[in-house]
Parts: sequence; C-alpha cells; structure tokens
Amino acid sequence: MIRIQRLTKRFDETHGIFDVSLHVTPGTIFGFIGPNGAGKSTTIRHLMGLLKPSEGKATINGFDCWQETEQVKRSVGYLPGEINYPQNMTGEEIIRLTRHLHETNPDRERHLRERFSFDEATKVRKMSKGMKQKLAIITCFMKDVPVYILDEPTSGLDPLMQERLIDWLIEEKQLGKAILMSSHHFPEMERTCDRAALIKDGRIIIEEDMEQLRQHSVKRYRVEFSTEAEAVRFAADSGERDGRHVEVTISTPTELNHLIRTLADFQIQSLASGTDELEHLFMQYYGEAT
Amino acid sequence: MLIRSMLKQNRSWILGYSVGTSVYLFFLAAIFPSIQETGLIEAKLESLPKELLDVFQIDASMAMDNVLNLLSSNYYGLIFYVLAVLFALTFASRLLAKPVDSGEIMLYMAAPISRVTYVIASFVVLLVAVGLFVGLNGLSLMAADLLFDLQIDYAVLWMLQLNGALMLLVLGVAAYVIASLFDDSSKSYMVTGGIFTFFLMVNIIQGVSEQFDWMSNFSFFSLFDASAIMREEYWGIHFIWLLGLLTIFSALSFFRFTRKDLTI
Repeated sequence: MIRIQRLTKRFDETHGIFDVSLHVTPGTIFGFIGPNGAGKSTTIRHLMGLLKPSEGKATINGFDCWQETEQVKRSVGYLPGEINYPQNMTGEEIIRLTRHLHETNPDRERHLRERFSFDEATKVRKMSKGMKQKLAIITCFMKDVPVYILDEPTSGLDPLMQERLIDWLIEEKQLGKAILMSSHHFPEMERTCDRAALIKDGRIIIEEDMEQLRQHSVKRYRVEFSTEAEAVRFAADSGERDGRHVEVTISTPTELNHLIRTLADFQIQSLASGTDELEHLFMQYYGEAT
Repeated sequence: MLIRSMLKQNRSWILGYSVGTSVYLFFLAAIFPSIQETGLIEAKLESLPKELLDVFQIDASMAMDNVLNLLSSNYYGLIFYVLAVLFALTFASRLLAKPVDSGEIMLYMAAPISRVTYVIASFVVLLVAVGLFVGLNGLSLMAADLLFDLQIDYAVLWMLQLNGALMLLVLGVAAYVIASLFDDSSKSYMVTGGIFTFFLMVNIIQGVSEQFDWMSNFSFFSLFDASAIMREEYWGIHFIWLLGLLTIFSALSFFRFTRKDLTI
C-alpha cells in the first residue's frame, strides 16, 4: 500500500532525510516516531506529493507520489500535523468544501460528526486547537479510502476524544485500511500500532514489529524497602539507591525471576514499574533517557 | 468547485477594488461639467511646469476637453499604476504567497487536484477580478454619461479598459511568478513591491525630461499610455507586448509552481 524505498531529500549536507525505507501493508497501523526535526513530516510530505525526492521513491497503491499525485490523493486521507484552515471559514463550510473536493461517504461523515462533535458554526479563527483537530479528523476520515496518513493525530485532543480516536483507528485497521501515523504519544502507539520505526537526524535507526520492540525494551522497577539498611544491603548487588528506594533495570525474563527470588529475602514496602516500557526504549534512542 | 471556493474566499478584496474605483470614477465624471464650467482647473494646470505635467501624463491644453481626457491624466496615469501594483500584490499574496506560508493551501493540496489545476484556478480568479475591475469602471462611466450627457466616446473608453485589463493581468501574473519563488509571504511581498516600485520610478523619471525617454523601454507601465490611446497612437504594439508578457509569465508560473517543494 504505502512503500517508501531509499527515499532521500537533501536540504543541505546535514538536513533532510537519508535513505528512508518503509512499507505499510493493508490492515496495519505503522507508527512513525522521532524527536522534533527528525524528518517525520518531511517523509510524510513526500507521500502527499509536496516535496520532490532527491533520490529514491515513494509510492501509494503503486502510484508515484510525486509524478502521479492526483491518483495518489484520490486514495489517501490526510491529517496534517499543523491544522491551517482558512481563518474566515466556519467548520460547516470546511466540511462542505471537503465534500466537494474529495469523494466522501455520507454515512461516515454522519458517524464522525457524532463521535467528534463540535460547534460547526464557529469560524476557524475562533476555534481552539482541539476543535480544529476534531474538524481535521472528520475531514480526513470522511473519505472512505484504503490509506490514511496521520501526522500527530491526537495532538490537542482531550483524553476522551483521544480514546475515541484510538477506538476509531482500531476499527479502521480491522476494516483493512493501511495507516501511517506519526506520534509522540507512546501509550496510543502501543495500543494501535503493529509495527513502528524510529527516525532520528533524517535516518531510520530502528524498524520492528511492536511485539519485538516490547521484548527488546528494558523494564524499570522501583522497590521501596521497610528500612534504609535493607535498601543499602540490596543496592550493594544491584540497582541505584535513593534513601529507602532502589531502582532496578531488567532486560530479560531471567533477570526478572532472579529479582523476584532475591526480593523474597527482604522486607518490601512497595514495588512499582517505572517509565512506560516502549517510551523508555525510544527515549534511549532519542538519546535523552535519564 | 475549486474556483468557486477561491472566489468566495477572495470576494472582499475583488469587490473592494472594483467598487471603490468605480465609485471614484463615477463621482469624478459627475462633477466634470461643473469643473469644466468654472475653468479653474484648466487655468491651474496651465500654470504648472511642463515637467510636472509630463510626470503625471497631463496634457494641459486637452485635459478639460472631455471627461476621458480628464480621467486619462487624473486616473489612468499614476493613480492607475499604483492601484494596479496594489491589485497585483493582493492577488499574488492572497492566492499563493499567504496560503503557502500559512499552510492554508493544504486544504486544496490534500485533495485530488494537480498543481496545474490550482494555477489555472488562480488565473481564473484573476481574470474574474480584472473583468470586474475594468468592467465596473467602464460601466460606471457609461452610467455617468447617460445621466450627465458627458459625450464619452465608448470606443476609446473600452479601449482604455481593455489596455488596463491587460496591464492588470500582466502585473498579477508577474507577481504570482515572484510569489512562487519564495515560501515566506513577507519576502515575496517585499521583492515584488520593490520591483514594481522600481518600474514606477522609471516611469516617473522618464516623464521628467525628453533626455530620459529611453527609460520607458524598461517599464511595464509604458505599455499603458492613456494619452496615446486618446490620440489613437501605439495601442496595437502595446497590446502585442502585453499579450506576449502575459504568455511568458503564465508559462513561468506553471513551470515554477509545478516543480516547487512545498514545506507546508
């Protein structure tokens, strides 16, 4: 469905994207993760025919994203990262215009309006970020197409709406849609994505199935001991101590079993898992993990 | 639908230019008989230095002969040039520079619309805007003629409108080409404004002395000479030049915008 092969765009020697390849198949959600300025949006712009590749190629449904952009856009729903609709138009006018510019499905439109309801009579300039995001979600998914490209789809949404969007994405995936989604929101990536790639400085540094990523990720546990002496005794062999607390890092099930056996000899007050697993893995790659 | 939507979004400035200038022309034409009767302006014009009158392309001996002579110096000279520059800047800014800079163009670029279609739609909007501008200008003068019996020569009147329309189209498409070179709307506004102001200055300096006549070859504005149309001189060659420039700038617009990287 979506295929990017050795895509390179050089803005200068160090800026751009270099040798990016990925493949999104029907019925899957592909997570595209990376810090700001890593090249996520540049890659997505190539898919939407906004940028001409310096090398390599991007295709959707077999159509070249630069040379056959009209055919590509006919089968793609796009949710941009920055929502910039004309300021003097109302939500209703934007939806009406979308209906005329794209081939949309009235049933989906009604359904989306119910799920992501907002005041359609409000002009764009008076809308909050969340309202604009809901409007963009409606206009993106009004099209019943096989491919969706979503740039930070939950940005600006309240937790309830985030939950509704995640449910919607899972339903779309089950209907066989191919979805490419860039996000910084790790819990939503964990719940929705089947495969993910991390891009940093314009290069993909890891691309794997979510299941494999979870297996590779280190897990952190924070153990609270009943006395400081106990904590000192435990920390002598493993972990970093902070008063009565010790933080332990585990990377394999064997290590986890060993930890449980060891802890049986101590008086434990509480045991909590640390940072979200996947988030921690990606933070390590970001180079910002503490 | 694309054209209708673009027209809807741009109707305020299009109507602003068309109605504003037409009302100005109508009132100027309406008071012409009383100006002519008093003879005060004619005497004032004759007392002004020839160089100053040349800058504003005013022929003092003919200015009060009829309303079109008055307008050729009072409107279809420097005032029209400045209005044409502002009109072209507004068109290029609203239809290309600002939508690209702000990302609003994504509303259309996400749809199955090619960039060629977007440029064509922009030019249709320009054509409608220019048509309304010169059309309403001409109709307002015809209305004034009917009401105040100004004895306007309609052939000359519509020749002026046609020349003005071609000038507006050339400047509009030229501004569009320049806007397509930049991602930053304020930069494109500054560069286009700078180039057009240079042409205006050339035109003004050329009028100061016959020594600078050669400078007229370097300004678009020399291709709209209302006095020459009144005298039935040069207009054919001016029209050919304007049509040629329009073709070149249109081709450049398509060439540039269809190859442009859009970082929106």
